[in-house]
Amino acid sequence: MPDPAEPPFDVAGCLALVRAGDQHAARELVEHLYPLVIRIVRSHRPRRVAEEDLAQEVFLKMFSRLTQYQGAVPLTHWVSRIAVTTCIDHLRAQKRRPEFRWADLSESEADVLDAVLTNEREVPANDALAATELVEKLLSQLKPDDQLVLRLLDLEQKTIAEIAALTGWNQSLIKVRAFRARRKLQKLFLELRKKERS
Amino acid sequence: MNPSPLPPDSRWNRLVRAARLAPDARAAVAPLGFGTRVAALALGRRAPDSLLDLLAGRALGVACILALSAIALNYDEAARRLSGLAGGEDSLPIGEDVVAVVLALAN
Repeated sequence: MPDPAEPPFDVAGCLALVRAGDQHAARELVEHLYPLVIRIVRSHRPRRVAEEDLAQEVFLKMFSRLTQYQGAVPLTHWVSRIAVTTCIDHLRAQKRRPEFRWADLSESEADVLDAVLTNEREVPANDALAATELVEKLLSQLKPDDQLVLRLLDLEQKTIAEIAALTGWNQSLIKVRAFRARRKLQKLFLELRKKERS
Repeated sequence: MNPSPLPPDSRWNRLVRAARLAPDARAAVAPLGFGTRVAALALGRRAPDSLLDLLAGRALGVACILALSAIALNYDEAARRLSGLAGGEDSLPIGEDVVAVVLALAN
């Protein structure tokens, strides 16, 4: 949380210094934007990619494209978009999706899934971490673009317009992807229910 | 503006509702040295050559041009001396013991 006594970060001044090759200003810019970038990276990175490596890649892309940034949108929006597109590139590169199996779930994940499938009880609040893990495992069964849409829409509760701004996809495409991804999850839940019974 | 709001009791909705409650205790500040490393990598890539590098490159180019010019301008003289050395009377005898010849001349 920023200190209220601290003066606001001078983005324009810092960018001018970075463009002139000032390494100290570049470090300050990285440190200023790091919380934003790491939050996006943590939400959307493939599991096999280290978050720090991905964050570094985002920043290097940002610096290499800095001449293209004209200030038409806030810098944070522009950097968020770079971070999201970098993550989706890595997700797309991860071709193989492991099969979802009951046997691979931890005890608490299995409990959460059981609660969800039976519709009888709400998922206990203290199982939130297990629910997060389970969400990740379920999302890994979807196509990378569909994963991204559901993470942004359902987990981060962003609007379609916000997702369009972040990804550069048009709004109809996002709606179609969300619909298709939710339908696939519904199918997956039904299959899991059958397997649970058997 | 949601495409089709999730039914509140859908399995997926119940699951993500629970997942959203998970606290994220991970640090959101850059690890020590991260900013310095990234700044050095980023600016190192696009930094222009130093003045010394530029001058050294140019000096090498100028030196090459001067050397070639010198050879071209003095080619005739150099060729004459080389041919004189190769075909002249003072050329060293091939196949003889050079040391013996030098000692004989000295006596």
